[in-house]
Amino acid sequence: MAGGVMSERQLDFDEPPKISLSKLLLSRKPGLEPGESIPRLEAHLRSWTVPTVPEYRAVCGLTEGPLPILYPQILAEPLHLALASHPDMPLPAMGLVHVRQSVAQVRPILEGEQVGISCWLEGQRTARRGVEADIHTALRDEDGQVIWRGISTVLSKHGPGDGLKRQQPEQAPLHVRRSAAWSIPGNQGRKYAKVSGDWNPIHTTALTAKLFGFKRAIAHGMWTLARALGELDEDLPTHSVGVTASFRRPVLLPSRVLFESGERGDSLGFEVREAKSGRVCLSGDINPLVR
Amino acid sequence: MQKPLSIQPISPPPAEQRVSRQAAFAEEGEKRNRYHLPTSLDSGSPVGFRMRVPLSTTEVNAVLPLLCLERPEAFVPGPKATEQQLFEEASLGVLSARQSTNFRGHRQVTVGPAESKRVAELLGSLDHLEGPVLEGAAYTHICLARPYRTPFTFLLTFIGHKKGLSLGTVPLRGIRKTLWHEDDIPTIGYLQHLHLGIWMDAMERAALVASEGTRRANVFSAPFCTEARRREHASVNAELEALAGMTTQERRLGWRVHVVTQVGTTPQAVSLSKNTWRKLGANLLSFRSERIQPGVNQEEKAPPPYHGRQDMDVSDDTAFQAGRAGYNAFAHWAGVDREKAKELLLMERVDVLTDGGKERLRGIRTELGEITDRVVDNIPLWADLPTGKLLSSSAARGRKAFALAGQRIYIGGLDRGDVEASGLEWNQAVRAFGAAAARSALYCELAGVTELPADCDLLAGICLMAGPVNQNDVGKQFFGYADLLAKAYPDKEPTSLLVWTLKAKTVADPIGNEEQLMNPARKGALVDLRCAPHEVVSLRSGPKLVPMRKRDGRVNSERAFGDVGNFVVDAQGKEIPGNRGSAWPRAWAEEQAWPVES
Repeated sequence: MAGGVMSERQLDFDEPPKISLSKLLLSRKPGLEPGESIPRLEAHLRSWTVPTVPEYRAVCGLTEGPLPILYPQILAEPLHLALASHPDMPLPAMGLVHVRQSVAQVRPILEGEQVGISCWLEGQRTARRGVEADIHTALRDEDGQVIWRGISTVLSKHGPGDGLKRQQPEQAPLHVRRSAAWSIPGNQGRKYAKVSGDWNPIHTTALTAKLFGFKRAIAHGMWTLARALGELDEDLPTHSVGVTASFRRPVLLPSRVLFESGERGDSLGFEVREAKSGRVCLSGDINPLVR
Repeated sequence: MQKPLSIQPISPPPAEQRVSRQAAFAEEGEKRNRYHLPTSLDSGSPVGFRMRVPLSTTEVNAVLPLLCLERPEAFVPGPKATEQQLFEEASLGVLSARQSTNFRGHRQVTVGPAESKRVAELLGSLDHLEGPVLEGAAYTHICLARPYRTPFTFLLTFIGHKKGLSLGTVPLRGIRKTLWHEDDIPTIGYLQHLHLGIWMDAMERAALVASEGTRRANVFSAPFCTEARRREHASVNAELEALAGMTTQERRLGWRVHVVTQVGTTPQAVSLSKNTWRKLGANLLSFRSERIQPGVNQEEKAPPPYHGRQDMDVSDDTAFQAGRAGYNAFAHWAGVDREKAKELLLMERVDVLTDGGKERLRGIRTELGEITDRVVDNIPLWADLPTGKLLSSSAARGRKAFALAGQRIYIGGLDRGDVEASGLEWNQAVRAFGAAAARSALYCELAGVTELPADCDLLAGICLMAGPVNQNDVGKQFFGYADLLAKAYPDKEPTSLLVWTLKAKTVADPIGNEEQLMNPARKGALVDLRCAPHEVVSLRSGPKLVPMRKRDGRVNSERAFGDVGNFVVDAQGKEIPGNRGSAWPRAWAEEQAWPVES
């Protein structure tokens, strides 16, 4: 593997791997049979310099400062794709739906800093219409200390679901402190794809999104989340912070959505809802990180 | 010299008569109407749906000197302006200045300290200046305006033509309007100047409120009030237009530099508590036209709070002080003494509380109705029929605009002969008249929030209307009617310009009236939407013009002075989604607008 060493289920890279979209599109995966489980797969990027990201900031409406809190997810994206395209990964990459994301930033990361990135996944949970898997990501500084952790939960319908509807945990009401409408243009998916490298066709054009069963192109969940964190601005803790978010329904492009944030119990809660129907697309909570 | 004002609070009615709007969201399946709260707000305007904020008598008396501001005498070095201060200043100026009919005919380009030096040199070379040009401005607003053009003025193109000739005269008038910016009736042309006067008066306070008393505005209007005056100094105007980034196309559409305002730190800071500045700013954004007098001109379908008459009155003292505020403003902007201002401003009180007022009002309504009938009859069939009688039905709907209700109703105007004999330029006098109207209205609005009880939306409101005057002018120009002020001033040749209807009441107008200004889907025919900053305000930074609050794919969703929290809610305290807005990123808001003097 170019630039890296591969043991059977552990991939080590000196530079981010380049996984072509066609490889992901064309790879045939059997899906999970009952009784099967996803084996532990790991990918590591030994050392990488955190870049400056003015384009990412511009696309997500973020101000200057330390590395945006969600950017490590983009740094890790090539490793995620390497795991998703691994021959032992039973679930097809193209059918994976990002349903939840949690992030724990131990301390702000600076542009230009050297970091090591590790990703892994193992096992799955049964969901109503398939299986869910957690892709873990960790960034370490030069001393080997974990400075950022992320868990991306993906849903695949290529696994045995149990058909059971799970009750959403009851949330405390949101006491609104910010409430803004966003007009998201039709090309938002392409703009974010340019800075994130995620050219999944469901995000880029209406035509390609239709091929995968969507009415129109949909916004990247991680863009919606980044934009929401940008809107929170000074309300967002700047040092150690934990973010949890669930992507409830896709944000179709173009669209008008409403962002709201405020206290929710002991957390800073936020939601992005369809302006017309009021249905929640993204819901999340932010807490100072307890180490 | 302007005379000081004192507040004359308006007494609330007995507790059992106190009513407030208490608008609710429409229930599921219920048809929404103008009395329901909007389902959401999607707007970049700094205004939003706001409620009035109670002020104490002490606070209002402390604020009243802002209604008698004189020109600053000098600028001194001071802290550099932040983006947030410029946003809040624009919010109280071009983005909100009394715009029930904001026709997007105003724009503002603000230049920094370096260009301000050049602008000061340019201003210094002009004649007709109202006061000394000051050195050391922190920034300068170049204010652009275009002729008043709305669907109403489009309709006017078809009015007043002779049958048989209209097929030729309608297009001819259309061409003259487009190419030479001629107006169908004179009072439409005056609207532009009335609005400019209102904006000028607001700008003086806006600079102070946004800087919490440290910066003052030095406004110049007279050198730019006519095309002839602009031609006298064509090269200066050309340079100002270039600084404002005006294009040939915009010039063709009638955009011109109309006002230039220097803003700088003054040695005489106005001292108010931060809390009072913030509440004043939030209040200024909440004030809007009040057309409904409960129990008088409400709709049948209006909810109960609009149906009962309230034992409230606008006292003579309140009216007197409002008048004083108006004369102050006219004297200030026209550059005449107060006695002259009183002589020039023509006012007739026409409400039912005056002798013969009921008959006078009925007479006005009848006359305006007759004019509307003649307008409807006069619209050429060749234009009306193919549009499904859209033109005539729109003209007939105009009747609703003439809501002559209130305890005090005044018609105001000027006599062109008197104005010119006083050595004043007519357009400048009209601007001063607009400023006088706005300032007297502001006095009443402040009286309406003084010691405002929690169970009332307001205690007094005002509506400044040009509609009856425009309709009367149609009658004057095309059907031989006399001016509205002709009976009151038989020895003069008055031109009525505005109608004031002042109401003491506790329930604010339906929120649907505000929604017309905020929601494209519910925009009324005669109003335009409140603008977002990036749509009408630009900052010049070296060679670049940068739209205010449009950056990295984001536009403004902050409601100015939103920290006061005066957002409309339902009875349970539920907010309108999107109404509260979201503060502009602090790092961007705290940036100095012009960190380096280039």
